[in-house]
Amino acid sequence: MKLGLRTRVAIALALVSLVVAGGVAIGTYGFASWYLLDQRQTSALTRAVLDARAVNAALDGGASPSQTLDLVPSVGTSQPMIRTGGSWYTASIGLPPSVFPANFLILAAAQGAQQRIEVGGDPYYAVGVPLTSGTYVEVFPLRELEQNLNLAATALIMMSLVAATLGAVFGATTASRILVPVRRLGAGAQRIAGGELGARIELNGDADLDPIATSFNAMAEAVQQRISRERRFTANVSHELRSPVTSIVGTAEVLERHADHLTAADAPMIAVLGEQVRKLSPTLVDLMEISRLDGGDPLVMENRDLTALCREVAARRGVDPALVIGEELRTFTDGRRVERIIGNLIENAQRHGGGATQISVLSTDEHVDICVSDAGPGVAPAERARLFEPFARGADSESTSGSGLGLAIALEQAKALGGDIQLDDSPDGGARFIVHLPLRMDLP
Amino acid sequence: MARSIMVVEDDPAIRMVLNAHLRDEGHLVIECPTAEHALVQLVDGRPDVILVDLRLPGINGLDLVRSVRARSEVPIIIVTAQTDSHDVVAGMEAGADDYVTKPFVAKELMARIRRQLRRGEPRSAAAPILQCGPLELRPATGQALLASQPLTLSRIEFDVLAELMSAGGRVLSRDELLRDVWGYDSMGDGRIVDSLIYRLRGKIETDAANPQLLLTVRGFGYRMDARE
Repeated sequence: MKLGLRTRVAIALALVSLVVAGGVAIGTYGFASWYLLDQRQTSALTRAVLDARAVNAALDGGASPSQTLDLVPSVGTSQPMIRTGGSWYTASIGLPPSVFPANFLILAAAQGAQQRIEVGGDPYYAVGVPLTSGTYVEVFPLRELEQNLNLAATALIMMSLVAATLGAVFGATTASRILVPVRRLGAGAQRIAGGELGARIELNGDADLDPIATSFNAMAEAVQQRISRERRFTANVSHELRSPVTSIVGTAEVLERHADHLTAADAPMIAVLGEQVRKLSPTLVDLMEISRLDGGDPLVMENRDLTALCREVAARRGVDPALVIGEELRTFTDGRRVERIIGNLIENAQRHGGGATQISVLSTDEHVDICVSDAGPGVAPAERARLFEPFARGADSESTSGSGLGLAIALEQAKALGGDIQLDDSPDGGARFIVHLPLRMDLP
Repeated sequence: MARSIMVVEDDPAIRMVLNAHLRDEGHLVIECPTAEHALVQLVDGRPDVILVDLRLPGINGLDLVRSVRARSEVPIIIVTAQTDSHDVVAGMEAGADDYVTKPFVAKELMARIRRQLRRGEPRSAAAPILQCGPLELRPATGQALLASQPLTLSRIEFDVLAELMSAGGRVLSRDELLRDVWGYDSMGDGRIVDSLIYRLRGKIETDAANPQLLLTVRGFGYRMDARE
């Protein structure tokens, strides 16, 4: 997967900060070290030449080399050395003359020389000046300067890293600030896609994003209108069918009751008529219900024991209430809707799953799970979502009983209560519908 | 004894079907295609139950219910294709006693009618007098008194009050009332209880918006306040 925009912006800004700050740091360090070293060397050279002049004068005046060394003002920590008559004279116990490279000494004796040397890891600057007879060498330690430069380098590296971090943080915050409207756009789109068709994305005057939001809202509006038109159509159709179906069902019932007055040929026909037309009524009721579910009736919330409610519902549908497992579990909910949900699931189990085998009522912290298991063959995962669509039939089922809307209504009702329904396999192999409902200890 | 049932329904097919079923039950049927017919018929006839379709040409069902209720305590059952329950609630508030939606199952409708007819039958003389504050119910005679003054209650109003008063201050849920008073064996619409309570408060409370006798226990149901 590609990195998110926010991460990419943060990384880019961090790299830019690092390169800029690093470049500046390297330049600063290079200049500073060159300048400081140059300064130090120039002043060392000047000192050494002046000292050499004094030493030369003293030696020429007949002073002994040891005495002469005392003349050299001990400034700083430089170490003066005199080589005359083949032997070395040095003022203090310091570096032995053996540390100097041979060609340095030759050059120093001939015309004067400067060289950077390292002794035991410490840097020194040696300046050699020829005397009338012999050579004057003065050694200046550079250790302190190197230490200072190292310190400066460390500080500069640290600062570059800090700059890079700041760059990353700045990049991330800027990117997320830029992305706020984009995210809001995404959140709005997600809500609409999640079925919250009334959701709209707020415009906030952004010239780049507003057109996207506007077209998104227009699309949501169109979808919503389309759906409500379809629902209205369904509602109207089923409403129009109610009166005729009522009179046909009623007529069939009257005729059935008078079956003994009918001929032997007519009676079974009337029975078929009655049987078939009676199937229409629940379908119409279900159609009406599903077409009115959103924006429909308000919830009638009452404190109810869901376990007891499930037992009642089971008993009314000919299911042994002992199959309902669970302790008293009270919550505020709309009992009529819960009855529709559980009742439809039980009927579904009876039609397609060989009957309900267990109904368990369990509570978690904020939810209640009501599981309705059946004795059927279960439902393949790929089929599960489709089963909740109106008029979906199980792949194996040739049954035409029922309205085909039971599960769709159950799911819609569960959503109306702030819940959901899932389908998985029960441990015993059948299908298991799990109704999640919110556990409400107070009235909303 | 044959009972007479008035059917106010503009659809002739449904009128015919209802007529057939009611006759099979042994009832006399007064067919009225409009509310106007029904009002004329009510001048002479004294039906034991009225079935009313809410959607009628001319005077609508809701106004008919109101008008009948203003002069009679006869049980009224709304038979409607309307399932939008605000219509049902409006019908109940106007004074109806029960409702059935189309397409109805004849057996169920007949059971509802029987239930309403039974309400009108005299009760056991041994039924004790119920009392709650200024309210007194005499189930044996069907009399209701409020602060010693006679109070006119429809039969279902009487029964709901009697049920709540016999509970002795205990909360009755909408379900319990639907089961015990209306005779529902599956879960009914709790709002028909609410609209009946609304009607009752108009009759027994001094200030219906601020009830002192018939109290709502939010989320649980209703109870009578038994304190003096």
